[in-house]
Amino acid sequence: MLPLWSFIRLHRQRLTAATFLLLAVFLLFVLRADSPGMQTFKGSVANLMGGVQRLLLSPVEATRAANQRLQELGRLDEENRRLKRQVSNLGPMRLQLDETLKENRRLRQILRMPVEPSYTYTVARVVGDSSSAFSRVLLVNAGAEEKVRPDTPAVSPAGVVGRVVAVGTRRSTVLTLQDINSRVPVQVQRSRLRAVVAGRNDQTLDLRFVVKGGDIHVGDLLITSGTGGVFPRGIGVARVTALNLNVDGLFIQAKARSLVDLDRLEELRLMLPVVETVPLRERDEATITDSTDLRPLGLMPEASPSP
Amino acid sequence: MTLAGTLLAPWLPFLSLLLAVAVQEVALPYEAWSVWRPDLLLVALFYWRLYRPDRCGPGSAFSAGLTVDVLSGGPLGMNALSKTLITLLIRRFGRRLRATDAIFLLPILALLSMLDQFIQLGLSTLLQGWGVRWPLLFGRIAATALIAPLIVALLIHIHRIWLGETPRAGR
Repeated sequence: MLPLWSFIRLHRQRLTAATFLLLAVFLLFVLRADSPGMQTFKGSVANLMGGVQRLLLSPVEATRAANQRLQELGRLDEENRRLKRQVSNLGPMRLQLDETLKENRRLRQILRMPVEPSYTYTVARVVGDSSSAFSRVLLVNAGAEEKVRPDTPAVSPAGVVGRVVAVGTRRSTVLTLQDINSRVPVQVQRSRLRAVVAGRNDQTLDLRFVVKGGDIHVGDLLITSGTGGVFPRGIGVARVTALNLNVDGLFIQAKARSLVDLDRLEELRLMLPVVETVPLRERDEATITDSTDLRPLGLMPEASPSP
Repeated sequence: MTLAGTLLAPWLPFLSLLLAVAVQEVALPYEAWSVWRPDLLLVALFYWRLYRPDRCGPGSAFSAGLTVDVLSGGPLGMNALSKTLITLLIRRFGRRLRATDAIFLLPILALLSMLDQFIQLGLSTLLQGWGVRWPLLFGRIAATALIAPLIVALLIHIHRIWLGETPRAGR
């Protein structure tokens, strides 16, 4: 027998272990995790494991759904009456919004500013939570079949949750704001001062690149600035909780807290840009349809008080 | 045993590793409960590597660890590396561990879980800077040790019904 072959046979276990260790080191330090091949691989794994999780959770989901349905039925009748009253009150407001949108588009055309892309939404349920001491990622039950793509923004009625980082056929993974790899360009709503919100793997967020002397106070609302090309402008992100002005360098240290309570997040909405935007002609009119959701853009209140 | 059972039996340890990953990565109703999220993969890996090393090698540990990495969105290879190292350790001390009373295996499992978490902490710090939630780290160690008897009892049941004793287990 060849000496090399006998060596391999003798040390088979050690060689296998060493091969896998080297492979892990290669994955950690050499391989680019955002290459198309890796994205496909990640999507496939998310699909497979999401399917297993769905199977495991099906009795729990069925019980929960039945319970929720029973509770909802009791409230539906009352809510229906209340909503009808609200709709009749919202008529004038809708007309006003419609007019403002038309005017906005006309003015943008005059100024030759690009019209912001419109978005549709798909609602997804959080089916997996891979929170560990080192990451904050959610698995949701919407994927390529629902036209979700990498970098699709994920929002809740309260504000930004994060963005999609891997897409499977029916599953996607969402990198939350709190994850240490998350960066979101923001601006202070009051003063329009720009900064970047960065995750820290805990409840607080770092606010980076806030210039010394910038107009920012504790309690200021941070909204997406629209730069970076991932998040559209004007979605709530966080509130400033602490400022430390006495630091060296060009920037101050600031902390913020996310508007979204991940502790109670069960569903989220994925913002899918409508790609085929037809340029507005002179006689065209911008319209708000019933399906247009303006809440994430801050144009409509979440819920009006019942009369 | 049926034909399907005969064909499936050799793969049971690996399938149980994947099942452990699927269960441990399930969404919890409250994020705060994540503090008590046990590392079921480590328990399953510990058991199979100790009592059926012929069916659970570094390859199984690497694949299951990589699955956790993909699902958790962390650096790819972090769990794969730590779990492969853990299997090497179990192999190194396997004979002594198998001779130890079951009750003493719990602190050893907690120790392995701590080692696993600190390997990941080191790699995570090296790759993406300092950022760790200590309650989650220590909570995972405690939860892993506490739930281990239940998981091990389940695995013993699977082992006895589907897989026989292996003559190579004592190597």
